[in-house]
Amino acid sequence: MTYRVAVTTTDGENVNLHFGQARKFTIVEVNQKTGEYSLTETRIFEAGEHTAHASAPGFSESCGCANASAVEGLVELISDCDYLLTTRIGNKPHRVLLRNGVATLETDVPISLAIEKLTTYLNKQAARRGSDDNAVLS
Amino acid sequence: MSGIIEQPRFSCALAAQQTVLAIPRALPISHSGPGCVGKTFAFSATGAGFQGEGYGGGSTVSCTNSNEQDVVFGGEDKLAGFIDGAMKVLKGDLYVALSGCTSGIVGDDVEQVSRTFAADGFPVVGAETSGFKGNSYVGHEIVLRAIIEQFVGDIDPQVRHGLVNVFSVVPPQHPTWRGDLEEIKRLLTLLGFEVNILFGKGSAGISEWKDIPNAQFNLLLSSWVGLDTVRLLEEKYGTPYLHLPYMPIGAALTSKALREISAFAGLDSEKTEEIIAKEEAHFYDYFVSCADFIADFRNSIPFELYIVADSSYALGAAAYLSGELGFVPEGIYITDDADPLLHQDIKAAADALIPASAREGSANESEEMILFDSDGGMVQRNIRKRLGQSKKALFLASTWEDFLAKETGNLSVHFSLPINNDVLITRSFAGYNGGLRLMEEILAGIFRKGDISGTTLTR
Repeated sequence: MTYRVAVTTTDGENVNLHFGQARKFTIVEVNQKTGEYSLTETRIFEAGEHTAHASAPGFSESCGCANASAVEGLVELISDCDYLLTTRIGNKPHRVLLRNGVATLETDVPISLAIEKLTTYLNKQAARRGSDDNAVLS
Repeated sequence: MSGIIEQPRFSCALAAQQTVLAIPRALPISHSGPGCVGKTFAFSATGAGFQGEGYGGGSTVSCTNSNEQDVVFGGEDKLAGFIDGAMKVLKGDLYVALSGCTSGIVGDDVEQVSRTFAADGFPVVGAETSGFKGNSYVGHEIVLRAIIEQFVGDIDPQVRHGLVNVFSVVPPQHPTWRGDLEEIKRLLTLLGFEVNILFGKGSAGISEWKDIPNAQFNLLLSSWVGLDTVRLLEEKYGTPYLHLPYMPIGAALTSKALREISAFAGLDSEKTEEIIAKEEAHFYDYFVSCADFIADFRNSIPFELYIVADSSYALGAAAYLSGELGFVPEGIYITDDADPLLHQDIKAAADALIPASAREGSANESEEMILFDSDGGMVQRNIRKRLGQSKKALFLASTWEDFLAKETGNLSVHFSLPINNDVLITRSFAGYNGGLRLMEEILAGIFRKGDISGTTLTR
């Protein structure tokens, strides 16, 4: 069982970019059982496709809220991922991502540690779901 | 104990936020998921006869809104940020960080985070009130313990003779707590005590809490909630405590309580008797003034008593109504989910307070008078069984029992949570004045119940 995470990173090792600063996303595929992961690809946001995202005034401070269509373009780029790891994200892109099935987690730790914690969490959740099948309420 | 119950009578341990809010200028900071604070407030405060947000409650309770993020990476840093922020924008004398279920399961150490602030001299306390720890009553006591251990702390008591700390109500789980505390404070002040009432309008706030170790003794007016607290205080500061396992309601019970308190504190019994005589004269003067009414409307006044409430208030009311107003206690349903180990103590206290003759001749005489059940559905099923076709019953209970009362043609008086169709302000059922008020509620209630033939109110 694998899950996919998009990460905003400059060095491929740390989560160190705000969502709004990111022009590319590093995609990580994680084996949920073993916790092994690999950086499979880098997706680059083409500003030209939508209205000027990177050059929008206040772009770098705004965590992606500055331009609605830019947000949609970014979301589209990673909508096949289960999670987004980024240092900060604005309310709107956070919501739009969630609606597209991508849960955002804000963190500034190394990617390896973040993936480890996320995997632990998902495994615990899966185990809990399993036991809930026998619970009264389910 | 886990299971599904119908018609809940209490909220979870996080309802301790209301305990914090009941202390003047104390503010809760909730480390819980979005919705916890609002739901708890809605049940505990709004559901207690619309008691309002107060100084910093309701929608202004600071909350970390823990989400998936905090489950994956832990939420202690976030909580620390919130405590820091809350102290900057909210004016308070004491901040109590409370953990909700999410943070409790993840293992965020609310107490440790709070201690780092306390170490820097800020008035911050952390309490593990995750909902799964217990109900509102349990949460109340967790907060009391946290404040005493972390805020009052290890100090050498400078005992002041005549100073008493009162532990009794769980605000606002006891919906009449505000008025009741005023009456308790009034009576203790009459006896000559200096009173740390700790909660509500009559409290001086944090200074009273700091003063707790200096008391001559602690007074506990409650069947089991608060027992751990007074024991802790005895252990920590060597303060003795007097435990009266009921809320004194009506003249006989209140006088009995005052005598015990007076003897325990070593007061001059003659002076105490003088005060009691004066209070009783006042009480019975009003009491007797209802005699004409009771005689005229004897056919409309109920006498079969059903109480659905927590142990302290249920015992007080049952003793008063059976002992002084001639009610027959048909069923007393204790809904506070008291530890089964305490059931015998509660029953023993009831036997000591309620005259054995009170149930003589009742159709339910052979049935248990006291039942322990938090499930409203089970309680009402039992009431229906005992009720039969009677239209002479009084329910001292919640809004839930209003429906039962209406359906069966009986009278319901609001006495326990949840109360969503009534407004409670200074209403009090404690002490002498509270006893009169309860009598007033019952007697006036017969007109609210419906038309009474032969009166001018008949439509």
